[in-house]
Amino acid sequence: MTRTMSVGLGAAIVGAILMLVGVILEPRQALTSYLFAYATVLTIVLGALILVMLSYVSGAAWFTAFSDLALAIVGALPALAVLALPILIGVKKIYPWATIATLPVETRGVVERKEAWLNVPFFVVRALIYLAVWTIVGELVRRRWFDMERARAAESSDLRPRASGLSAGGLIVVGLALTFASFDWLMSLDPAWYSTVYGVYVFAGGFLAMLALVAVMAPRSIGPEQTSAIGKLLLTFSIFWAYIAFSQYLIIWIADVPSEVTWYLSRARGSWGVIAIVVAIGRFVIPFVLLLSRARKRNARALAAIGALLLAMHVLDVYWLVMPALHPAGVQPSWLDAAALLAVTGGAVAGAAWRQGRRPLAHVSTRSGEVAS
Amino acid sequence: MTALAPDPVEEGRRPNIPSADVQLPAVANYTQVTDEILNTLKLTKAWFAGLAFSVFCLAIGGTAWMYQIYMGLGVAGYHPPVMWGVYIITFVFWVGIGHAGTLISAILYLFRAGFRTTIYRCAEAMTVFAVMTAGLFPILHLGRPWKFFWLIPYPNWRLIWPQFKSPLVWDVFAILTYLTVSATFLFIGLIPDLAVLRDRETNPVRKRIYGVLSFGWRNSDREWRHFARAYLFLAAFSTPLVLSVHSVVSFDFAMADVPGWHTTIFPPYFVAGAIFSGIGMVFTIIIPIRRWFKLKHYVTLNHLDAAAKLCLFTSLVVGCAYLTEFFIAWYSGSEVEQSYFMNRVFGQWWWAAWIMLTCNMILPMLLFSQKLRRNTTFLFTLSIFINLGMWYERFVIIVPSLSHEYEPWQWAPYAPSFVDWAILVGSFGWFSMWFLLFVKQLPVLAIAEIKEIVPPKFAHRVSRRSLDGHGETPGSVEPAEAH
Repeated sequence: MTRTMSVGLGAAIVGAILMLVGVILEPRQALTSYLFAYATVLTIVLGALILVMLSYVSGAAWFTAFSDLALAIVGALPALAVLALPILIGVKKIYPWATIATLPVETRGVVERKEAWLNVPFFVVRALIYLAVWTIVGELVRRRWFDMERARAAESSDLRPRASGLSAGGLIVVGLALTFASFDWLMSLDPAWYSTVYGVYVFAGGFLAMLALVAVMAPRSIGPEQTSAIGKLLLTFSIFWAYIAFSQYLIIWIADVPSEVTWYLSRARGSWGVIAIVVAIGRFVIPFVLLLSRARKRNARALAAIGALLLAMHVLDVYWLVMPALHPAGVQPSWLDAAALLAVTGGAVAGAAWRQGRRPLAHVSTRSGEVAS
Repeated sequence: MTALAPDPVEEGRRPNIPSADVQLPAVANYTQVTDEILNTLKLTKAWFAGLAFSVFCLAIGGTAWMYQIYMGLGVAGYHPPVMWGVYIITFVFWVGIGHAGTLISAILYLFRAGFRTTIYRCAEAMTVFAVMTAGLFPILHLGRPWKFFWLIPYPNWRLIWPQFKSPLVWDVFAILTYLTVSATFLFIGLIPDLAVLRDRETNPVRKRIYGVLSFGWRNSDREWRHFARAYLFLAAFSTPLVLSVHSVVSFDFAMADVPGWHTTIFPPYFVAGAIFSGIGMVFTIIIPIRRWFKLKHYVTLNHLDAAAKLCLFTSLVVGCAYLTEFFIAWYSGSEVEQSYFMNRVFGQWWWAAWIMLTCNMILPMLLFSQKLRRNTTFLFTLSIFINLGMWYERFVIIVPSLSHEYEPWQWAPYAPSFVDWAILVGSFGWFSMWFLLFVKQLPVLAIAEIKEIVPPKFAHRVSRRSLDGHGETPGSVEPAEAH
């Protein structure tokens, strides 16, 4: 058992105990906090899976230095599949549509019309499908990578074509599952509200946070050329996230349709509004300005600092997506938010570390000479 | 590994590194590149015939326009509530096509995708001409086209300003910016090739013109350094434009509270569709060019294969966007949305929706087959379907929405008239006229960059970087390691 794994396992156990206490004391808060923590971690891990597949499809050479790291993150998927259980069990506590009678009269009619999609058994079946898709594709991609490693060690033929075929197909199903899961798990927290770009927003945020995590964890042996590749991607996806977030806001704001604008009303006023501004600045303005500098993009330490900021902003952003459903009036931090983060992050880290075993995270970087730098 | 770190200044002007699958095995040396590409500039009878046909098409469109100005916009089939029809459809269609040029020349440059080298000049020229074509349509759509300048905000005696909250005004800015930047980008990339033209030219007047246009390019270290800097800068500068321009075009629709228009996915969905249609048009153009101009050994199957993968990818994105739209319309629980989408697929224009779905989502899936990706006849045929499908996509977005708004009394039919079709034909004539003029005046393949993907074992071991005095051949990383 590696040290990372024991730390993760310890955190998971402490978090789980706290969560158990929380579920007894304030079940709705505890489970919603858990959903927030779960969505935060899951979107990062799925971002890593999408990055791996994208790089297989595009044959991106710069990625080689980070592939072990990204695949190690993907290794958390089976653990995350198990960690989804509390959400599936707590559906009725978390989602207002599961108990239509408690909804305000204005929205009840609309939500009743959605019952064909928003009902507990179908929700659980869909969730199981999403989890199965991610886990299976993640495992196949990992296995294919290790095969390729072995083939390369034995200097036999390259398996990349097969990897790219798998990845092309994988991207579609993983992307669709991510889109629908974000509709199901996050968007339906406000059952009357809908936004077609929501899945893209969730993907953009998770992908950016995953890149930030890679920047934080990147082994120091990586040369400035690979570092700057991550820097450029951070800049690109920071802009992409801002673009999606802004256009969704602009379209909803300018049309001012009551059924749509309510979602932003609770999220743009009072203390939630402060969080929204903090996220906009911390996730776009600051990284954008800092990452314009060429020297900074090549400086691993600076990138790690920016990555840490972006990770914090990801947590805050998911918090802002999830929690106003429970506390529309304003931010109400709870100790359970921290406990849930501890439990899910710990569990995911332990799962990934267990899968990783003693394999180093960056042994490929020693070969970075073969990377088209 | 610190030895790997190159000098940061040197790194900044590093060209794309060609990998083996990008290189041109059938090209022996640099002279061959220059000769063969400049050979394409010789005027032929077929070219004159093509130009004459383009001008004829343009004349059809011009005549129709004059007729429309004389008679009024009613002859183009516009009756309330369907006040946007073929003109706006075709406007969005051409703006969309204009996106692939910047994608291929800028974004793929930044991503170091080597296959862009042989197709980017073509794509850039296509972009400029497509945007020039698109820019005509808002003017065509004006009842009094001679007052188009009212759209531009400037202090005037009328004391009237355009409505800045309207996306239509943002469009003016977005399109003009895009035209300016993409034309600059095309021109900057042409400078070394213009110098080649100048050196080969015997006619003193033309030589002089090429000399001025190439800014007296002398192929020196410093010039290449500045050139690469400018190119990189413009690439980075125009990348956000790829997103912004078509997003603003999508705002024309998404800002309006019309079912089927007002949906948040529109900006990325329009951008993906634009890139998809642009790549389709690139195939439509580059495949005949490589055949007729005998450039098959430059635009290799490997390059087309890679571009086809990009096409497939964007098609999948567009397909996912269609499905998301349909799903959310159903999920929304809103009767208006649901009835609108039912109308879209099974209503008066059901065939348009199915053309869209078949051409943009289903047929491109054939590109999963590598065999088909390398079959130019197939690619060309598919690209025609993509062009058709993307035109109908905009038809499906615009017409059924306007003709099927909230209340049944607002519903009304629409039919494009012969004026619309004539102007559509005219727009293709206008576009192809410019493109044909371009291909015989300027090299349609980037001579200087193509020399970088000539396999080094045959070529003189001289490259852009070795001209800078760094003695490295593109693609060789080993010498750097040895330092």
